[in-house]
Amino acid sequence: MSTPTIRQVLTQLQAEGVQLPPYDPQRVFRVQPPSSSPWYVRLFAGFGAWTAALLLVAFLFVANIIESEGVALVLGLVLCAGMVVLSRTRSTGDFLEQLGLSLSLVGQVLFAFGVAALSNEADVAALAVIMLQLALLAGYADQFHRFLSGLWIVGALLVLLVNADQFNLIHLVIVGLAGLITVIVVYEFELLVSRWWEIVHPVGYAATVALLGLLVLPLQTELAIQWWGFTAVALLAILGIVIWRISIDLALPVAPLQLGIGLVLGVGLMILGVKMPGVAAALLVLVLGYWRSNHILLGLAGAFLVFYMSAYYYSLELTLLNKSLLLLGTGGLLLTLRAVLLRTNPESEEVQ
Amino acid sequence: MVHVPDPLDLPARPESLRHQAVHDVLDVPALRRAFTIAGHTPSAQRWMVFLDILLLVLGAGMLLSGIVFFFAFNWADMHRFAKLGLLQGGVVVAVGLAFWLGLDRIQGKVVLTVAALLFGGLLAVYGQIYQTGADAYELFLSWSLFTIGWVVISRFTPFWLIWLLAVNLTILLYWDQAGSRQMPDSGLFAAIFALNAVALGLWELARQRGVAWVESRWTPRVIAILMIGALAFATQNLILDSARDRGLLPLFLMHIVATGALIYIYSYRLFDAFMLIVVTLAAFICLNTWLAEVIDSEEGALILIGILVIAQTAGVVTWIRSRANMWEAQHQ
Repeated sequence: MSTPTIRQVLTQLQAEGVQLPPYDPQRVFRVQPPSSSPWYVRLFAGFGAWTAALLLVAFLFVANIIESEGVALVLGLVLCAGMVVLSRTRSTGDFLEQLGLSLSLVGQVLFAFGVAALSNEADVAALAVIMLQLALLAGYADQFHRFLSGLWIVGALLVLLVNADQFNLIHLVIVGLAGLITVIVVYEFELLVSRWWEIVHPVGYAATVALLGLLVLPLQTELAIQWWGFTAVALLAILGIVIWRISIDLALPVAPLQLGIGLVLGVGLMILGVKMPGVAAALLVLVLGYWRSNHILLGLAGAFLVFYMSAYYYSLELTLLNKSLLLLGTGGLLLTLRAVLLRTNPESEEVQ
Repeated sequence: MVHVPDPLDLPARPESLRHQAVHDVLDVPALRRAFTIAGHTPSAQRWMVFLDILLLVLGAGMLLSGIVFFFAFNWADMHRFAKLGLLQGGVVVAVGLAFWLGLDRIQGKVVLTVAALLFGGLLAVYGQIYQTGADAYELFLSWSLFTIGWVVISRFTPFWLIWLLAVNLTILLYWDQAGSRQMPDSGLFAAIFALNAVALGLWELARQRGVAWVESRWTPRVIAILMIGALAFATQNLILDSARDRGLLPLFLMHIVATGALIYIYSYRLFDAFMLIVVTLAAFICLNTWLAEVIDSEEGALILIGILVIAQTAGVVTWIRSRANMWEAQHQ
């Protein structure tokens, strides 16, 4: 099915009685998303800007212009403030946009270095980074920069947890991130028309990347983190809430057999998910992405699911034969469930 | 006269609809309804298809992985005829399936590509079992020669690209395993450049003549990266150690000629911003490397090259944008 035009959608809305503002050709032209350069042009601009920024910073150090931690801290703040002003200038173009981004990041690194070196405490540096990033979230008008600020904040939180030897609290961080992403996606339309969208949208992507990144931790054995089952159950509970919300939106009448299949799937996921919390998170992001036609979320979740399951099975301490039997069994079960699903829903458009 | 399409006749993509909402054309209920009308909010049936695909992909993926793991477990103990028979059987089945599906369909082309890859595995296992003492480049050379017929009849750009990469790898491995004693680095760079220049030329010629299956823009881009990359490596080697190899100077001159030719072709004849970026990036890397070599002062080099990178990048981005706008205006 091809995508209808904007005109067709607006005509249909008017036919359904939806009140739209009067047609204004000037506004119609302004409200088109600004045409952007192809991604490789932006990548080239970014590569050039980052290279230039690194060379200039290297010059500052080699020429001994940065002589102390205090100078680094002050210079870092000045760079950040300057780039905030630049970001709010209209029509900066791809190159200045990337240069501002790279110089701001350099400023943040100098600031963090200055605070850490002056205070000699990781906690103080982490808190200072969080405060700076919150200020930049509000001030720096660029989606990618806000995305990076979100990641910085999560990173600083992890530093605080490690320093306090409370790494098991990471489960709260993970569940919190999942909750944040869910709220942003569920209330996407309401947030879109609010003044918070410009901040919330990139922060949502940062939370998604951080969530999936943190769920690589169960695959490693060096950090002794326990209670992954708690995280898995919490993530599956959030997934269940999302599915319930979707079913309300669709006003779905659920037949007993389909409800039964759903429960079996849910229990099965619970059993698998306790061992593989990454799968629960990937499924949550996958469902959210599909619900809102968000190809970035779909891509992230799909890639993570493949990576996670490959890494999980690779890391299992079983012989190749037992891994083979486990995979064959699980694969067969999933295909059987699919067959049952198709039988109980004959009107479905079966995959060609 | 430049034709500007009516924005309302553009597809109602999710970003466009979101943009309408941000600019108060659609309120929340209208946006929600617009998403449904435009098909961006899945219906119940589309959710069933989603679940169907998810279960199919995960289930089939795990089943296939289980089969691979099973054979991996038994591989060491399998008789050599069983190993060879398995791979040969795979090739025969894949080729039969490809012809049954038909090479006009994408499925047939994909399966034929899989058959070729399995054939490569067969050659590798044969060499391993019988300890033929063949060098790795001989494996890739054999594969390239044996599969050229399939590549030609497939008319499938990914297969062509895999085949071309295998030929490039053959040259690289030959030089590494046997050729480096007989020829300098410039010989390798020249061979890689020549191979990919011919491939690029033939590709663009076919595209100009309207050969349907060469419409992909990414294949010639990958070929151009290999071609310009070889020349850029030669130029870098000349800058960093010119005394070592006299063959580098002609390649440097060829780099200049190729850069000019590609800029002309992909600016004025067949506009392609990616090609222009590859060519200019390679030129700038070489120029900046040369400057870093000739400037004595470290601080001076850092600040000069830093400022130069700013100017180079800004200049190229501005130029590409203006060329793109002019090309669009001329070809509406």
